[in-house]
Amino acid sequence: MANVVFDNVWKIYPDGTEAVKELDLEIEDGEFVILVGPSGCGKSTALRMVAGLEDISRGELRIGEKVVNDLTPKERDIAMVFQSYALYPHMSVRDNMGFALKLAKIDKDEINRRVEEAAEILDLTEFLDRKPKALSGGQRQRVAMGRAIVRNPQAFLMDEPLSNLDAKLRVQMRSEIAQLQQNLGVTTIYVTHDQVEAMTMGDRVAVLKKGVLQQAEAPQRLYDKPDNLFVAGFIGSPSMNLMEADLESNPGGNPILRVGEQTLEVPEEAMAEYPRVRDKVGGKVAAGIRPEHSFIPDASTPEGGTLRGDVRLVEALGSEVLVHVATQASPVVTEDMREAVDDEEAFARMEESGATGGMDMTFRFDPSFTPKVGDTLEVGVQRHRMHFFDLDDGQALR
Amino acid sequence: MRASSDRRRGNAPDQGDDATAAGTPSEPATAPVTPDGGAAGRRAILKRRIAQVAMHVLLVIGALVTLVPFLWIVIASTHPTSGIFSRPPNLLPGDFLLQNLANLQAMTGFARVVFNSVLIAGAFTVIGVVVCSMAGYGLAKHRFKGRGVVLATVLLTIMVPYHVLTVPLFQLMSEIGWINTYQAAILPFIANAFGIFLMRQSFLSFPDELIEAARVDGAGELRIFYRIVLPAVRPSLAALVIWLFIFQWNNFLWPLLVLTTQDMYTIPVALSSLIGLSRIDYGAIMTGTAIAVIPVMIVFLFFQRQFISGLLGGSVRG
Ligand SMILES: Nc1ncnc2c1ncn2[C@@H]1O[C@H](COP(=O)(O)OP(=O)(O)OP(=O)(O)O)[C@@H](O)[C@H]1O
Ligand SMILES: [Mg+2]
Repeated sequence: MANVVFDNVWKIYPDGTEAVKELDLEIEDGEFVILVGPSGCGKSTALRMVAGLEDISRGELRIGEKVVNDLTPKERDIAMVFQSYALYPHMSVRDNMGFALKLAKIDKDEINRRVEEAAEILDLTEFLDRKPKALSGGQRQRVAMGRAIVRNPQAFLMDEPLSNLDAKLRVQMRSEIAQLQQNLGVTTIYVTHDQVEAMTMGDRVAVLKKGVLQQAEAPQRLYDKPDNLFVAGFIGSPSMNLMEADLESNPGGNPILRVGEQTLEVPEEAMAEYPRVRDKVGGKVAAGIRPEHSFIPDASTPEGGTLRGDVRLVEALGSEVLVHVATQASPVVTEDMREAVDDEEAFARMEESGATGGMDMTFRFDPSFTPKVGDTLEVGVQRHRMHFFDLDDGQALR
Repeated sequence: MRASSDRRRGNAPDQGDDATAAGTPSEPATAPVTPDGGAAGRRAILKRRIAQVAMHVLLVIGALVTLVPFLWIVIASTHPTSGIFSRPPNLLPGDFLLQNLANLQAMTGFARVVFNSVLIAGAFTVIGVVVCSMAGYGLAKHRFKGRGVVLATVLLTIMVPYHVLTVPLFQLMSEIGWINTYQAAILPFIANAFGIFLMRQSFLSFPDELIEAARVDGAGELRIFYRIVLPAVRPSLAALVIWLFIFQWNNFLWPLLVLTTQDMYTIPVALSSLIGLSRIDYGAIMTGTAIAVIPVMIVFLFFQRQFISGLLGGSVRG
């Protein structure tokens, strides 16, 4: 086992595509790091450079303090789990799992012992003599895992290993992989699209956008303190409500945000967290509020602490209700948001609603709260949990 | 409504439906016809029967047309020349087979000739399979400068007629002193453009991730090729074996040019040498021809099974 260090690593494909730019990331020995980002942001490319399946254009990659830029995959001693599982179709499960060991000239008894041990852990013992095509999707996935763990490698690399499974199996395998990694303590880099996988599985989440690392932090910290607009918009599901708003001065108080006819006063805690907000008074900022940082206002809720709008949609999810409210706020429609939304159609809809001045915000409530579509709703905003970003460069106004 | 639509389908079998009716998927749909449309249903079943019978008759005729000449060769190989041309023709096997064999051996040294043919076609096939599949793999799965040009060049050679190549090739062989050697008969057509293209096409659909998985598992390029990739294209390999073997087994012009003494002849060359004689021994020729068919049949039957089981096995699914 070993650490993995990206030291100013670049990947430029022969056609000129800069898939990974200036990547600096240090993954500690035994750490479980998740790479996330929108489609095409370079996650797979970064992973494949570690595996040795892609050349490194510039910079240095070290595994266990050894520079591996010019080493073949074989010499790097890493194991990879592919999205398609990539099981050898004509070999039995046993041979699939033992293939790498056989190539490493490990003796037969030892191979058998290790394969059977891994099969035991993964509940595959009864399938050892089957061919992959006679297995279910979940079992194939386990074989792919087994092929990695029998090797006891320097690091595990996984590229969206659960994306071909149905939702239920995915949940199950998610926790199994996380647990397995914890037990084995092997350094792991895990690429995913899935918000939940990103938030729940790893020690640290590294967010990429267009080949550039945006932020690498423990999941909760990333969620609570996004460094920029992109991370704020990308991390979280449903995503943060991000609006573009004028920041007005307020003699004798903190600045206030104008949202259509309404205002939101920026509280002291938020000012402390985002001191540069003060510099933006008289201009525009991007202000964000997570769906769950809302409440049902009562008599004690002060003026300037709520947003009003018509209920568009109510999604009752059992444990919670998501209420979509058509507010007067304008959405943030910068390039960062286009990337964060990662869906051209949805982004086009946002641009449209931005032009007509009004955006749907999503709020999360207790399931006992059941407003009706068409109701006008006053939603309390936990203003001290709000986030503020510069509209031009997207940086947090810290 | 339903019955009428069925009837329409049932009544319009004239658009070339007859030949394919036995296997069309629309037929089962007509079977559970509603009770009120019983007549139309029965008619549809009758039509299907007739189509089936017609198809079998056609197949039998086709089989006879193909098989009778072979049968005639086998029967003729058991008669002396006079017996072959007798009137009425001998339709039953005679007892001259061993004599024909002895004559053939005496005239051409046929045992040696068969050995030459097996050696040349066998070696050609083995080397050809290696060369064509490796070249096809390189062209399908390895990125290198000028890959497109190489592929286009390979394809262009398909358009150059074989006969055009014989003169320069012969010159080349004579310059390096290979006239009348086995290697001269085996090597020149080994990088078969059609074979390379066939293999390239089947490698194209092989998933890259499997190759990468093997690479990460620590396999070298050669091992990946024969342990991981080749097993997945077994059907194409079988087709390639059949194609290469039959090509060389029947090859006539090139061996005729480059093999100059009787002890080096292949079967087609040896048999053709009998035809120029003043008294042609058709019995011996027929015997030689009958023997010549046997290896082709063996190769075909053996590899055809691989071919079909490979097709049905769907072996590439991970
Ligand atoms: N062989 C290649 N040649 C040229 N460009 C490539 C090549 N492979 C990938 N790219 C480009 O590099 C960028 C990053 O690709 P990559 O596969 O790493 O993205 P990703 O983050 O894994 O996306 P996804 O989530 O869709 O898998 C993309 O713009 C892609 O088009
Ligand atoms: Mg990818």
